[in-house]
Amino acid sequence: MSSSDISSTASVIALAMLSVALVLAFIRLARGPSLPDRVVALDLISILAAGITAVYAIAAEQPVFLDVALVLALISFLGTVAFARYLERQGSR
Amino acid sequence: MNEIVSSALMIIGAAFALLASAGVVRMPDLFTRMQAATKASTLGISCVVFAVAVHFGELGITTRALATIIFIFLTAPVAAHMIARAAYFVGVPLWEQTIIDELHGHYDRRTHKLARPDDPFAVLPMTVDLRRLTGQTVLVGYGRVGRRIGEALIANDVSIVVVEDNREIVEKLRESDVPAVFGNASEPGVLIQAHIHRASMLVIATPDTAEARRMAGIARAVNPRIEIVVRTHTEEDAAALERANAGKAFLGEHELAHTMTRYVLDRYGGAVTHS
Repeated sequence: MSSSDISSTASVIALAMLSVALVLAFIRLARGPSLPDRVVALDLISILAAGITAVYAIAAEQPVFLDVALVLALISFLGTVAFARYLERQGSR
Repeated sequence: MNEIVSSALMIIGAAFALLASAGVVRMPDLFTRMQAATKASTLGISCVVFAVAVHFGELGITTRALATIIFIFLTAPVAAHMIARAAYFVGVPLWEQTIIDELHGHYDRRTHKLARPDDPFAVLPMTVDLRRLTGQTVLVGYGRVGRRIGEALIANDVSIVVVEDNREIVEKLRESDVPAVFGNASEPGVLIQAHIHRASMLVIATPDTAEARRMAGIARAVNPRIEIVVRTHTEEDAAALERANAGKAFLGEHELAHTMTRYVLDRYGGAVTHS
């Protein structure tokens, strides 16, 4: 088995696991029950998306995707902080 | 070689991310879900990004990967803290089997500021040696009964922490270098201040049985192996306490009768041997 075979097999496995993780996070997003639950699920989804892009960078041999992962992580952070501030100000569910 | 390392990192990272998602679905309340999501996803994604750095093995890519990892490690805790804090204010319910909400009553709901107890006697001073707060005896009440127990324990070099709802007594105890906490021990925060989780024994020398049972419940919840000794007044209370697994109950009249009987028998025994 050549070295590129190993990493392509591994990236397929990792992508499959991350996809399952994404589905699970979506279940929590749909179920809630409270708004903070959904925010946590959404945060997890975007961080998982960053992970998927990073794995895809290896699978496609394209290091540029790493920048996409960084931007996704940044956006997820900003989104969560904004949600948290909104929740604390509004005090409603 | 690099391929194997990066593949392993990738799989490990994906596994952590999967665990995080499983935790988010399976955990019973928001706060437990969050601890699964934040920890595992941070570690998981960092592993995957690190795998990218190892896979390409170029300086520019490694730098970017490290920057991403540092960014995730800095932002994830901040975001998690903010959302947990907001959720707590909004009143997201805790799991029904939650034992203690240590924040309860400490937040000002209007200003959202953490109100520290103003009273210095309500918290143990930081100067108390941690060795004295390990395997110690927590003595609740330092009145007529408690003081005698406390003095005897100190005389026998047993390290104790006193919980008392009389400020002056707490002040005096601190002056004589006995760790003491001011407050009602039937509130969880007060017993936690007395480091009940590290204690080996809880001695309840206060007269109120209902409160004693609550204290025993808190102590058992925080520290399941703790030994509990309770003072009671009636036989029904003693039986109820021991049935509720609230520890060994001592009845004032029984102990008095016991000691008096022993004295009388001693006198007889003494008289017999002297004659």
